[in-house]
Order: sequence, then C-alpha cells, then structure tokens
Amino acid sequence: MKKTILQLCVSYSAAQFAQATQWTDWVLEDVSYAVGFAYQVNGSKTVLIREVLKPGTTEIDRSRYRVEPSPEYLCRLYDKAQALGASCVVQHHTHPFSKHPDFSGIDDEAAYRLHHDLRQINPRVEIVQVVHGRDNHHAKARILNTTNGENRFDYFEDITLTGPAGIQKYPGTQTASLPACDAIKVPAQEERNARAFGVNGVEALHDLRVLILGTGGLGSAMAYQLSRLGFWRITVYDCQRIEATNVNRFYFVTKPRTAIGRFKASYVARGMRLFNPAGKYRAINASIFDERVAAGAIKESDIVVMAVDHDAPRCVAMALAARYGKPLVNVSNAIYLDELQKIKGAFVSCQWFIPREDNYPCLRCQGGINDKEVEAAFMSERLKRLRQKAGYVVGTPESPNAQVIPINSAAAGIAAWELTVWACGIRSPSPWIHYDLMNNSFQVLQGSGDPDCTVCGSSPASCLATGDADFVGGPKNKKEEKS
Amino acid sequence: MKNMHRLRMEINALQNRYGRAQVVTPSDSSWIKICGFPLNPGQYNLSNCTILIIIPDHYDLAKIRECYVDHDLRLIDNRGRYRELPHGHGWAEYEIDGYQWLCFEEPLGSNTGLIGFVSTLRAYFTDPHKYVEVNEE
Repeated sequence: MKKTILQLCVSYSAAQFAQATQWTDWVLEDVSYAVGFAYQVNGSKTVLIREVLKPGTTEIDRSRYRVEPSPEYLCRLYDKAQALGASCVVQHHTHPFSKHPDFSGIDDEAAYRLHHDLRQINPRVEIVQVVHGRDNHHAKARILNTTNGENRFDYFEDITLTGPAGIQKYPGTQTASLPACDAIKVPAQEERNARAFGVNGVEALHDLRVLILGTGGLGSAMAYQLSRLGFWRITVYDCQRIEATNVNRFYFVTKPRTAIGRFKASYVARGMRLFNPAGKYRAINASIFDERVAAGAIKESDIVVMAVDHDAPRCVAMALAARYGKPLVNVSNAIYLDELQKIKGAFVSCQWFIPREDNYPCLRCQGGINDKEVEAAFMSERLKRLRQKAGYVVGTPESPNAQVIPINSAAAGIAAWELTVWACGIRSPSPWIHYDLMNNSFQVLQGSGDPDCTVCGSSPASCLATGDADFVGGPKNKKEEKS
Repeated sequence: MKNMHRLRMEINALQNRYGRAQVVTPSDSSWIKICGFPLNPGQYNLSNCTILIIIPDHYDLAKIRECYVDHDLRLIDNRGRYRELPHGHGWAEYEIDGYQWLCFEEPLGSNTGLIGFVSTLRAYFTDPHKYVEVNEE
C-alpha cells in the first residue's frame, strides 16, 4: 500500500553519501546500509545518518536481479544499530538494468524482513529504502510505515547533503522541481547581489532558513547584514530586552527611548520586516535553556548562527546542532584589558562546526569552550549552596565585558560573508577565522576533533550525543505519565 | 536539556550490571538510586549502601556533581574506629531523607558521564584510605 508524505529528507555528510553510493559496477546489483536517527518537524521527517556500513565482497551475494547480504553481515548491522541506539536503517541498492528504477516485490520482502529482525533490538525502528537507477541517474526512496499493524510505504522527495559545499539536494529528485534560472525575478534591491552570487545564488539565499541565536550587538549586526544580503527566512532568538547600555551597539534602533524595554528578538525581526516585507522574519523570545523551544527552532532551521556571550548557551546550541545535524557558525569577539584598564587585545572569531565533517569539529574540540564556566553556569542552586557551606570554592559573578560597535560589525561582516559563499556553493567555509584587530592580522585555523567527543566524535562511544529526544522517549514518556 | 538518549543507554547498562530492581529512576530521570551498592565490609560499617545520584538538568553538558550516600555510612580506620567519610558532609542541614552529601566530582572536560561517575565512585569506595590520606593533616 502506497502513500506519499509531505517530505522525507535523508541527511548525509558528503563523505557518508559517497560511501553509501559508491558502487563497484553497474552490471550486478549492489547494496549498502546506513544507520541513523529520525526526527519529525511539521509533518516532514528527517533521517540523520550516523554511520554507513557497506558489506564487503565476501559478505554479499550478488546477481543482476537480486542482492543478498550474508547473515553474518546482517548481524554486524544489527549490533551496530543496537550499539548506536539507532532508530532508523537506510538500505540503498541499485537496479543496474533500469534508468528509472522502481521497487519490486523482492524489495518489499527485504524491507519487511529487515524490519522484523531490527525491531527485536528497537521496537520503534524504521526502515528507509533507496533504489538507484543505472549510473545514479535517478533514485527513488520510501519509508516503511507500520503503524496500527498495517504495512505501508511512504514515498520520499529528497536527499540532502549538508556539508562544507553547502546544502545540496540530490539530483534526480529535486532538480526537476527547481524553477528555471530565467524564471526567477530578482528584486531590485538585490540586483547587485545577483551580479556577485548569480541568480541561483540569490535563490539559495532566499530559501536558506537561518536561525540567529542571541540578538545583542553582534546578533543584531548579523541580522542586519543577512537581511540586506537577501536571506529571506531568518529566525532571531533571544529572551532579553533592550537596555540603555545596548542601544549604541544595537542595529535597527532609530529612537533609543522607544526601543528600551522591548524584546531584542522582536525588535530585530520587526526591523527586518520593515526593510523587506516579502521576507519571513520571525522572532522567538525565549531562553536557549528552554529545551523544547530551542530544539524546535534548530530543527526547523538549515543553519544556526550563534552570537551569544557565554559558553553555557554555546554548549547547549552546539549539542542541539549536533543532534539534528545542522551546521553552526559561532561568531564572537573580545576586548582584553590590562591592569591599567587599557586595551591589550581585540579579537574577532568565526568558527564553523559542521556535524559529521572531520575538518569542522565542535567548539569544545577546537578549544573554544571554557569548561569551568559551563560548569558554573549549569550548577544547580542547591549544589552551589552545598559547596559554599562546605568550603569549596565557588566562582564570583563577572562584570560585563567591554564591547564596541566596530568590532561587532567586523565580526558580523566576516561571518556573513562566509555564510553567503557557503550557501551559494562558491567555496567551503574556513573552519576558524581569527582576526586580531590590534595587530591587524588574519589567521585561518584548523582544529582537530576528538574521536570520542560526544558532540562531534566518530567513535561508537560518541554516538551518545546523537538521537532525537522526542523520538527516543518523548511520546512514550507522555503516555507513561498519563497512565 | 538532558541527553535522554545517552542517559537511557547508561541506565540500562547500570541495570544490567547491578540488577533491574536495584537501579531505580523516575520517568524524567532527574535522579538515579542504586540500592545495595557493594562495599568492602572490612572498611565500612555497612556491607552495602544506597547511592542517590542527582542528574543535572543539562546532562551531559553539565557534569554529575551531586551524589548522596547513606547517612549512617562510616569508614573504619586502622584502629577499628568509625570515621566520617572523606568528602562526606553529613551535617543536618545537608541531609535529604537520611542521606549524606558526598562531594565527589567527575573530572572536568571528560566525556565519562554516568557510567564513568559510578565507576569512579566504585574505585573511591574500594580504596577509601587513599582519600583519607589526602584528607588527613
């Protein structure tokens, strides 16, 4: 029984996708499996691939019309799925004799069998099947839906690659639905942008869903630049209100007296809407520590821009970005003073974290997170009190850092440029740009990831940070609570 | 924001190790109680104890730092006398339901999590004199 769903997106890194679809030849059928996690937003489902397991030549029995992995290989696959706690298995296979492949009864049987075996490990496991036509010209995919004891296949729309080359839709499914270049009308205010990035680039910027976490001096500068660059779908996220000390660095403020006391995020969103009424600019006035709201916002975005002051919210955003496979750009700046309160150093930093990409490790692996600060921020009041009474040292509250608008603008300019060239597919972003404003020196740094890191690592132990909280336990828990 | 995925896997591992009935946790996993945690009878006044571990709201970004053990648990020194636990704070103001707070921390920067914390706790209870020496003047 067939039913088309709104959208199903399988999200790979570039390396994972190449591994999954690198076929030996197109004479015999071939197969590969990938394990990952699934989550759902507004009716569309995303499968986030964690690891690809391709059978070796001795682990597979192949013919022109049939492909059969050995029981030993399947046991290895089940073990891997169990070790990762994976909620989804994606089976890719080829139809070498057809350019426009479709699923056969044999494929149905394979999906049922895989589901039957895997549900012994995880009762809520889902099976996604992808079939590739000759020379990878076309692909079709579907998901096995077994709700209410009924087996049904829902057909998918696209495969997404999120990596250093930007966000790419897998050809053969998505390309046909894109409008022709000539059909795209570039607004007059973006005409010069189109000359720089091309019409397709402008279109990519229109479609990209950006989430800006933190809309202070730096976040508002980012929002200002991105909205002028032609990003039409921006969500700004902040729980704070504008204070008198903010207004001189806050973009969009024209009348400081009326701005003070209003939510920063709402104010920025309103400013962007005034500039471009066609854009979808949304504000979320919530704390990043409000898990459900933050997770929902990150799920619905394509990329996260982080412009927050402290490491604790950075950690939370980074963990959520890793969980949902979203690239994250951390923009920060700092002014250091010496004992005489004179400026000793001024720095701007733009770091990229792309989940599942080795060259773009998380901020903690890059040394960008102060664990002690995070620890202090996350410590409960009760524990702080206990430690204080027992004589253990507890940190003292810090005074606000020095901030000036030119440094915010410099940081926002660098980050906005990197984001734009990435979104337009012009080049891969620099993993870490470090700009020393006192010595006028630019450095491009490359951090290395820890394989056991629970955010960006590749070892089996590191998978513990992955997985959708809602999927893993949300609905089930609610039922338990009710009962 | 707890990493429930990780927490569930770790609680399962603990239940396999100590028994399903011995490792108790509420549906939101805000705390974990390990009953009958084995102790060396020659070194403690009890042969086993109950351990209450409070899971921080932002686990695993936040490390586990809040842990309670039986209020009556005492260490037996070389002369056979009962002593307070090193790093243990059993004063009345800290007691919750008959427990004493044990100031015991997972090392900073590591990714050991709940399993690592319990393993370190086990090492701590296995060789208490090591910690006593550090604590003694």
